[in-house]
Amino acid sequence: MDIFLQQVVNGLIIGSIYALVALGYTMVYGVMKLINFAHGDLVALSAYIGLMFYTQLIGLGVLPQPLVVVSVFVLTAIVAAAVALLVERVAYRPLRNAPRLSAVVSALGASMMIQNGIMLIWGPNITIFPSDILPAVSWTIYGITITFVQAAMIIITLVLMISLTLFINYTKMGTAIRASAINQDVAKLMGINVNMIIMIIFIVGAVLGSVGGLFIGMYYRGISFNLGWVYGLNAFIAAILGGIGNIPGSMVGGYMLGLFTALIAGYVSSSWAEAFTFILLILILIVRPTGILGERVAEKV
Amino acid sequence: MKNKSFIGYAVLFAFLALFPITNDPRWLTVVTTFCIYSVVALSLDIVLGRAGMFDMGHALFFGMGAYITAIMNVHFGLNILTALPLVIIIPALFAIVLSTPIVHLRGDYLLVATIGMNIVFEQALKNDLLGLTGGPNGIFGLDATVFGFYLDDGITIYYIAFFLLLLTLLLIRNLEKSKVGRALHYVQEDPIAAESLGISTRFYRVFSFALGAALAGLAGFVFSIQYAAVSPEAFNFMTSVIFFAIVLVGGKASIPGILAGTFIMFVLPEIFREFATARYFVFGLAMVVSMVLRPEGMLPAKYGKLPKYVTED
Amino acid sequence: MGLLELKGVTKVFGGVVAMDKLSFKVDEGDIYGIIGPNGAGKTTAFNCITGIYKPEEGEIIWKGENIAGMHPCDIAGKGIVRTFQNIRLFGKMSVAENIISGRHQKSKQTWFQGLFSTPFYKKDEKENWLKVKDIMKLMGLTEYATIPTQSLAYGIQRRVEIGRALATEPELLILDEPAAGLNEKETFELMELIKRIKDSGITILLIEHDMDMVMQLVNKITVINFGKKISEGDPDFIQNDPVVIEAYLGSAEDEEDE
Repeated sequence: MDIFLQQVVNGLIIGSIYALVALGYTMVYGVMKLINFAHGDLVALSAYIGLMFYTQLIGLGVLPQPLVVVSVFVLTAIVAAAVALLVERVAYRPLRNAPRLSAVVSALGASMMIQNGIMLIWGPNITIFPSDILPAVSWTIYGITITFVQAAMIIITLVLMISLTLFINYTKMGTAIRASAINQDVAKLMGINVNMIIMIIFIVGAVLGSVGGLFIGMYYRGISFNLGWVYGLNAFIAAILGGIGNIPGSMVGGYMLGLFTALIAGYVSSSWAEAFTFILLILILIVRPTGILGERVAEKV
Repeated sequence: MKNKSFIGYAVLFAFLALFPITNDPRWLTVVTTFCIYSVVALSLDIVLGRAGMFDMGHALFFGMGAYITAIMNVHFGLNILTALPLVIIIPALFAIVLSTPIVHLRGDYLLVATIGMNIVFEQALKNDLLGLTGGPNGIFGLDATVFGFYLDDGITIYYIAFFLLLLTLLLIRNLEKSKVGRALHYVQEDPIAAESLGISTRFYRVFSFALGAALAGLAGFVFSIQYAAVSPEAFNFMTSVIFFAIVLVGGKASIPGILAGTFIMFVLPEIFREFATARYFVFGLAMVVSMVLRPEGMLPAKYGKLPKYVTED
Repeated sequence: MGLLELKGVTKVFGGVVAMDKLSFKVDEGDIYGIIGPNGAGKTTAFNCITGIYKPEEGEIIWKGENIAGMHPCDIAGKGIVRTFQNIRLFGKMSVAENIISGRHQKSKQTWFQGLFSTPFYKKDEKENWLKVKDIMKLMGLTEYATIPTQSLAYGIQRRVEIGRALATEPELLILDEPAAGLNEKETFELMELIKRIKDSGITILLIEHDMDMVMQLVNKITVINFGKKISEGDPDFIQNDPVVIEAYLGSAEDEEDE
C-alpha cells in the first residue's frame, strides 16, 4: 500500500510536468494544426537557461534566496517566450499555407537545432542542478513522504492551470483563441488578428513549458541536452490521450500518463516504461482515434 | 525532358559502377552506405510519399532486416544467405499486422503511432528481447562467407549495395507505371474519390507499408553485412526522423528527389567532417531552410507521363 | 424488381434526422431525378447509396442484394459509380491519369505483375490506356490528356469526372448536380452527353437544381424535403403537384448550393 501511494505521488509530480508541457503542444495544435516538435527542446533549453541565471544571480549575492528563485522563473520564462516567438517566425510562419508535412519537417528541424545547439553550448554530458535551490524540507503524512520541491511543483502547476483555464474561458483574448482554434478564416473575418493569437499561444506555451523545464531540473537534478525529446514525446502523448487541441484534456492526460508511468515503473519495469507508454497510446488511438476526451469529427463530403 | 533524365541516370550509374577504382576505402564505405540509405529512403517514400501515410518509424523495418540477419547468423550459426527470404517476408508481415489497425488514423495520429512502434522496437532491442537481440551493444561478429567469398570485403559489399539500389530503382520505376502505383497516389490525394471508383484505401495503405517494409528489410540485410554487426542506435527514432526528412526535403514520390535528399543528408556531412559534432544542428538548419524555400521539396514529382500510344494518333 | 431500390433508409447526424425513411425505386434504363430544396438531404441519399455514409435504418437493394453499410469501394465494384457536387479529381495528375483511375476494377494486373513488368502487365496496361484514349476522344478531352486537372476550367473538369466514372463501365451512374457552375452552352452539351450515356445502356440517377434540365431529361422524379419524400412521379405530374410547388415556393429565397 505504501509503495502504491508513493507511486501515486510520484505520478502526480511527473504528471504535473507532462501536463505543463502538454499544454504547449495542445494550444499550438489547436490553432495551427501543427505538432510543434521544438516545444520539448524549448523545455530542455529552459532548464539550462534557468540554471545559468541561477548561478549568475547567486554569484552576485545581492538578492535573498527566495527572490533569486522567483527571478530565475521570470527571466527563464521571458527567454523561453522569446525563443518560441523566434521559432514561430522563422520556421513556422513561412509554411502556414504549405503542405502539412513540410511544416512537420520544419518543426523537426527547429527541434534538432535547439537540441544540438544546447549540446554545442553546454556539452553532451549531464549537467547537474544544485540541490539547495529550494529548502530541503519534507513532510510525512500517512507514511508518504512529500518534499518541499514536490509540494511546490504540485501547487504551482495547479495554480498555473487554473489561471490558464480562467484566461481561456473568461477573457476576450481567451475567446479569440478559442474562436481561432475552431475556424481561423472566420476568426479573421470577425476582426481577430490571428497572427497575434498565434504569437500569444506560443508565448503562453513557452512560459508553461519553461516552468516545466525548471521543475525537471530542480526535481531530477540531472539534465541533458536530449531531455526535450523524452519529456516532449511523453507530454505529446498526454496531449493526444486527452484529445489534442483540448486544453482540459491535456491536463487530465498529463496526470493520467504520469500515474500510468509511475505505476509501470513501480510494479513492472522501468526499462520498458517507454514501450508501455506507447503501447497504451497506440491501443487508445485504435479504440478512440481522437483521444479519450477528444471530439469526434465527421468529414463533410 | 525524357532524354535529360536518362542522361542523368546514366552518368550516376556509370559513376557508381566505376567508383571503386578510386581505391579510397573511406569513401567506398560512405558511398556503400549512401546506396543502402537511398534504398531505405526510397522504401519509406512508397509509404510516405506515394501513399501519403505519415510513417515516422520506418527505421523499425530497416532494423528488423538487419537483426534477423544477425540473429540467424550469429545465434543460430546459419549461412548469411539463408536469411535472405526472411528479411523480406518478416518485415512485410510485421508491417501488415502493425499497420492494419492504424492506417485509418488522421495524419498526425498515425505519425505518433509509428514513432511509438519505433520506440517499442528500440526498447525491445536494448532489453535483449528473448535473449536474442543482444541488449544495448547489439550483436557483432557476423560471418558473411558464402562459398569461400567474403561478402563484407569493401568492394564486394559495395557492389552488393549498388546492385540493391539498381534493383530498387527498377522496381519503383515499374511501380510508378503500374495500376498499383497510381492507386497509391489516388488514395493519397483523395481517398473518398478513390473509394468511389472501387479502389480500396485500406488495402493500398497496408500494401504500401508491406512493400516499404520488405525493401527496408532487404536494405537492413546488406547493412548488417557491411558492418558485420548491428546495434540499436542505428535503427532508433532519430534515424526514422532523418529518413522522413530526406523524403520531404528531396521531394515526395520523386526518385531523383529522394536520391538528392539522401546525398545532402548523408554524403555532404561526410565532406565537412571537421564539423562532426555540429552535424545534427546543421541537419536541423537544412531541414528548416529547405522547407521554407521549397515546401514541395527540391525536385518535386512530375505527373502526366503517358505511354506513347496514348498521346500519339 | 427494380435495379436499385431504397427501402426506408434513415440517416441521423448527431440527433438530427437528415434522411427520414426514404424509399424509391430506380428501374433499368431510367434517368431518375431527385430534386428538392437546399439541405433537403439529396446528397445524403447519394452518400448512403455509395457507402460513404452508413444509414442507421433501412435497406438499399441493388439487384436483389442489400448493399447498405458496405464499403464504398465494394459498392463501386458492383457497378455503381458517382460524381461529386464539388468535383473530386486527382488535381496534380493529368486528365488521362485521372480517367485511368476508373479502370482500376476492370484492369486485372496484380501488384506483383506490375512490379516485375510481366508480359501480362504490359498487355493489360495497354488495353486499359487504349480504353482511356477512347473515352477521352468521346468526351472531347484528347487535347488535355497530359494537363494536370487542377489547372483546367470548371466545365472541362466536370467532363473529366464523368469520363472517369464512365471508365469504370458502370451499370448505374450517379450524378450529383452535374450542371452546377456550367454555362448555358456547356449545360446543353452535358444534356446531350447524358442522353448518349443512357442510350449506351447505363441507368442514371441524378440530382439537379436546373429544373428545365431535369424536366427534359428524366423519366421519373422523387422530390425530397427535410429528408422525407414528399412526392414521386413523372415530370408532368411533379410540375403540377401542389405539394411540390408549396415546398419550392417556401424556400425560393435560398437557391444556392447546399
